[in-house]
Amino acid sequence: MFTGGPPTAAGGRARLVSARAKVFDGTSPTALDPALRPFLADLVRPYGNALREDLLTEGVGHSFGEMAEELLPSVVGPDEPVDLLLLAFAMHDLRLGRATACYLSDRCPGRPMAFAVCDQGAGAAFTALRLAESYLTTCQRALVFVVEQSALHYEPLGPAPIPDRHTAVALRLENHGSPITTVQHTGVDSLRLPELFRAAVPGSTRVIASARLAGLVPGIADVVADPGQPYTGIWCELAKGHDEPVVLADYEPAHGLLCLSTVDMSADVRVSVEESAVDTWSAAVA
Amino acid sequence: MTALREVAAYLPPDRVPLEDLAERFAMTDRQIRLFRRFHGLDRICLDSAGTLLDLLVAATDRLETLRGNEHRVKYVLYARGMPVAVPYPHNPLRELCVKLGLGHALTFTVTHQACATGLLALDVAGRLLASDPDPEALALVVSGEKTFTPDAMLVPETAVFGEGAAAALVGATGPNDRMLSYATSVRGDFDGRLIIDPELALRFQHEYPELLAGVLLTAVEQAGITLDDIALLVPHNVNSVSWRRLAKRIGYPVERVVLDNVPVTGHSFAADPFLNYRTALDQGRLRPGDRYLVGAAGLGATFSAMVFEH
Repeated sequence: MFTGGPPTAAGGRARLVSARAKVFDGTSPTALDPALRPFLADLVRPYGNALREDLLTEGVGHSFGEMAEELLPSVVGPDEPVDLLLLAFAMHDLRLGRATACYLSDRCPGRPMAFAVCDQGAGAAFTALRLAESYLTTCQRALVFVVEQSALHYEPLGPAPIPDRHTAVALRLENHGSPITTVQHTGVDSLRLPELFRAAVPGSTRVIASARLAGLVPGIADVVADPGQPYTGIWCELAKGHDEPVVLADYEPAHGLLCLSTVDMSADVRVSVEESAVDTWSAAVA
Repeated sequence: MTALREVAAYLPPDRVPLEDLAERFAMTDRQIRLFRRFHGLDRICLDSAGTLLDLLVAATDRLETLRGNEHRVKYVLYARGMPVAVPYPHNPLRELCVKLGLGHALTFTVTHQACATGLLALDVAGRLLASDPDPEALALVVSGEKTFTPDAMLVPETAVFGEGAAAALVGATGPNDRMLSYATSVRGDFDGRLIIDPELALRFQHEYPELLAGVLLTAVEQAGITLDDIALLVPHNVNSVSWRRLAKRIGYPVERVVLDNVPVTGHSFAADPFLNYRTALDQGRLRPGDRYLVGAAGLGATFSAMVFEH
């Protein structure tokens, strides 16, 4: 059980201990669940989206729960209880009705307090990190999962990024490790974006930016994340490992939101990168 | 200390008798009799012609202190019970913010604690405000959902969902309704769809009283008081009978549980605690200094409680 009193100010105590990313092949059995179609039909009916019968018949897509569950053992051991588990996403899960954060809590050592952050596009992962920092004032260990899957079983009514693969990233945060600080600037339009970015990020800092942000402010990024991973790309790049401080940067135009996370990976950092034939990356920071 | 600055409630005017929902909500005559006679439900509050945005706008329009203070609202949180409620990338929350002149705010949804998500949103809002350098900063927490699919219409043998909505302005501090404690228990072993899994539904019903009682009593203890100090219990509107039994189980007077809305609104997802707080306030049932206990449970499952001082 999680208990607390009135919250206090976050103390800047969030430290990154490990980051693991995995790209998933295949599909979830949920893609052929008979319950999927009626739920989707109910979901889109008031808005008039056309269902993608081809995708429903083919049975495509992945489940956030299954992806994150597979990553869990790589970030925490069975004797390492977790106090908080956060799930951040933009485009919704294939398994529409599941409280996946709760499900993952049950699979996680310590049965942590768990919830999801969404409806914020690329900003959700950064918000989850800010919230984790806040909870780490009174607890010891938090996991943030950033997830995306590529199947949208209806025609979207507006332009929006759709991932081209299924990806999950797990970030383990504690009070000891590599400091990570997150700042979110709101009310930022695209005209103001370049000036604000350059004022907020020292020119010498290594920047990992989304393709979305790099396109709007050319020349700022040392690493541009894969545009096919619109919501997990920069976190995948983090998980490849770095030997110096890095800034992860993204911009969510619909929210006028510039997000920056600085990770000081230069001190007491051991990094290992493992890349498999199925595009799996991992880096561990001890 | 996180404090409620104002809470507004919106209950749509359409109060639909259970019998009239039989076909739409796929309820049998037996279920309707059970809900009416045993669970104390009579009518369900629905906004049949309205959208989700309409619901949220109706709730926020009833806030008297938002106008003129828009610039102070730094955070807008949607406490959503259903994991998915609108097609991607439609975002009624963002539309609400633009409509209210809150486009500058950090805007996001918290979810996956089902009907306990309202209390979660208050805790999250309090955390953001506590870390904000501006002591005058506010957060707006909105809640309320559409009954758009069977999972959002009915909890078998337990509850019928309705479409009430609420809006709460929250400050890092404040003279009224200060949050003293929070207790929450996440029990993912109840993952699944009760509507198609009778065994899971039975186990959930069996363990529910003990789990909810556990967080209620822990929140009281965490606040440094006893149950005798609790002037009111503000519940979620799952049904009357479960709260009557729970009150008896923990030794709390059932007449001090705010059950007035159960027969006439249905279970408004994560909005219930706010709706019932507003009812208690409007009925003059809270006096300055009163401590009150708020409780909620959500499928999936999460059990949560908070203690406030009015």
